[in-house]
Amino acid sequence: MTDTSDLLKLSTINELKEVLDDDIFEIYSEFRSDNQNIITQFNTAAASGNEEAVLQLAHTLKGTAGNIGLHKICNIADQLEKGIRNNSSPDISSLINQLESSYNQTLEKLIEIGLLVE
Amino acid sequence: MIAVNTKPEADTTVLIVDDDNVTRLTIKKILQKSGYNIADVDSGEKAIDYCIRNLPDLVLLDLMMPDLDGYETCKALRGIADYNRLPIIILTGLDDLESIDKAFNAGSTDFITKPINWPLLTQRVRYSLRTRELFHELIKSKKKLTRAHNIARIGYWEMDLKSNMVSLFDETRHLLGLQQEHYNMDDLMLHINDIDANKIRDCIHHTIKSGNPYKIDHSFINDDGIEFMMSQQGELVIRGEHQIIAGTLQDITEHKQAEDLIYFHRYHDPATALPNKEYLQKQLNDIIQTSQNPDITAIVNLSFDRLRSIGSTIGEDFINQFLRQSSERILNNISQIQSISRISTTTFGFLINTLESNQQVELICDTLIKLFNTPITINNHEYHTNISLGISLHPADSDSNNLINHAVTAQKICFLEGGNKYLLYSNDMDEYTKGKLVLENSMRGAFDNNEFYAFFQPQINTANNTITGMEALARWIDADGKIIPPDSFIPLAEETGLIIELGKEILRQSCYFAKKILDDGLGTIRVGVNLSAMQFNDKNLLLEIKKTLEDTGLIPDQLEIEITESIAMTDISHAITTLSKIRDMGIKTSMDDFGTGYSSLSYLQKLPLDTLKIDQSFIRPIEVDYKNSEIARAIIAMAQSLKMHLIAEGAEEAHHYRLLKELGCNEVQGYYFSKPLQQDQFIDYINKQTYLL
Repeated sequence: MTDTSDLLKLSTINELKEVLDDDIFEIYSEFRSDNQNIITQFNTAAASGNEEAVLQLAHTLKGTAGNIGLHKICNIADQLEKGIRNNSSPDISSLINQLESSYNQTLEKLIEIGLLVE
Repeated sequence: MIAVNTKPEADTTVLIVDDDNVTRLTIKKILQKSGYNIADVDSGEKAIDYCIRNLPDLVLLDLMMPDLDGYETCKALRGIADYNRLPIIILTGLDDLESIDKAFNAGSTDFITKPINWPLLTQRVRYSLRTRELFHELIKSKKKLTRAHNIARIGYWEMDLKSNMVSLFDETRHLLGLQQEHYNMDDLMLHINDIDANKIRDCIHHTIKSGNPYKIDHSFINDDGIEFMMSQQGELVIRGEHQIIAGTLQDITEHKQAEDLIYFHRYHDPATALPNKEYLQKQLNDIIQTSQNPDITAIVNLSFDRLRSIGSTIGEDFINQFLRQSSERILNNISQIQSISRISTTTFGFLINTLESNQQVELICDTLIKLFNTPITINNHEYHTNISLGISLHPADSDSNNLINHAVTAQKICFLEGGNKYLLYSNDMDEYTKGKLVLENSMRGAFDNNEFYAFFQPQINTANNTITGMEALARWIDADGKIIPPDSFIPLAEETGLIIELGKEILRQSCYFAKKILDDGLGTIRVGVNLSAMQFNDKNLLLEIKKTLEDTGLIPDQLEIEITESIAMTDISHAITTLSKIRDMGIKTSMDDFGTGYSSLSYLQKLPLDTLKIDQSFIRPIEVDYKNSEIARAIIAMAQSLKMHLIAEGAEEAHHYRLLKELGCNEVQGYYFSKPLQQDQFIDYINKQTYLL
């Protein structure tokens, strides 16, 4: 079991809870439905060698995840975005893989702490 | 402090522009919790479209969007609405300083960094909305300020002392009607008269030296040649290496006009627009305060002696017109008199300045008297009135607070002494005036006690030595039986208006007595009654005479109404009308004191007169050998040419009578026959027939 604080930035989530109350559940379910194909999208873009598309996906995901305290996803998306932007030849497929596992772990964790229902 | 009325949240719409559904949703949810109306779109195009149709109160704009990105969207939105109307907050990464800078240039108002600090989001939106209101208020108040400046007609300007270039701000240009923003000072000075321009230069010079601000009022003539009054203020400002005079200009033309109007009303008589007594006092105060040299200033009070009584019939407008014309006449003819103030209904006051001797004032007063020998013409009618002049002198008169009063006192006494001359004030005049007051009071009492009597002086017909007439003369016999001469009370009665009552009383007694003589079988003796100017101008005169005749039963042709030459000449047309009406009643008319006035033959011919009475001053000097009779002869010849009945007064000696008879006078009156007599004495006189001797 991955540590909660490794995946989520709890302070952000608590702040959200504070300002949104019960509406917070809607946010995370929206995140899940918006991003259910996100990994496929990354893989498709990466497979076609469209780094720009990867960058766009990574930037959006980074922003979204960061805003709602999904710390781990945000970090990996950030590595992807910066890597491509800085031309530092990142290992895109490896990062996408990491993203995939983190994404799944995050959703599990959100379910676990009650922000998402199965 | 500016009070800001932020709209309630429910009326405030926030537009969220983000392609990220989750972020958009989160923001929406949070702001909705705070009560805001939320609109959300996922692209820049949709944001622009939304704003064109329905301008929100605030936009939260994500920078990184596919297609139209945040910067382009921001620019487009700014094109739709200004900063004061639409705050745009951009959402951007914390580390992305470059994008923040770029967004600033694209017209964003504020930024929020991602990851978004949610609790602060609402606060940021609130702050931005308030800033918008402040901005809005600021623009409104700037507009208000501009408006206030326009209303107050104030403008700002600055002048660089090195270049002498003056910068005119909007309001100032508007105020001065000038187009350019910058002018050389010398060019601006062309709009200002030389005296004012030099004063302004002096002010600026002094301010540069002293560092003290200045304030000056000056004229300004715009390009259309219209003159304005400006109030200019300026102060020295050091801006780096530049020395600047910064200041304001205010159009005070209207203010000045209002001030002038107030000044005018304070110092002028509203009816004639002539300066008033306060103005004279102010002039005098200025002289008393500033004069250090031994020059003499004369304060002259001029009264038009019969103006009040003429005015009472013709009206106030007539008096006003008379005074305006008289004032012009004086100013046009006597250069030493610069302005004339109206002191009372019928008097003027003025100063004659920087005189070297009293004689100069006397000379001017002589000229004034001569000036009013010529009548004043109003509506084709000629009016003549005597003037009385009173003079006080500064610094000879040490009571400088009462100089005007002293001149008035001197004038009043001058009037009481017959007028047509001038009197210099002296301290004993106050006593004299006090005496007059006592006299006036006792005169009022005398009416109640019936102390006024008509005395009668016989007029002897030269053809048959019979008494054919008598002149009634007023006498006052006080409680102690003392006879007070008419010289002492007639002028005062005229001044106080008591003359009307007195005249009525004398007329009544006269008619009664003439009728009594007739009824007693003592003969038919015509009675002559003098009318004063005030009576002659009294509206009720004719009614009064008619009533008296009816009451006493006297036949009208036994009454002769006498007026003096000067009364007739004061208003010749009124004299013609009134005398005609008197004559129409069957009453005889006569002119008293003939030869002493100003009447020309042509005037005399116009007057409906039965009798001329030759003044005693021409008769008295005639000596026993008829020396000094030339004037009397000439006047009698002239009177005869008018074919009127002729009575000579002042016959004191037998040779007077002889000559007058010889020259063809119809009747003679004087001490040679009798002094004026009381009724019973007069009856005795008739009975004794001493005049037949």
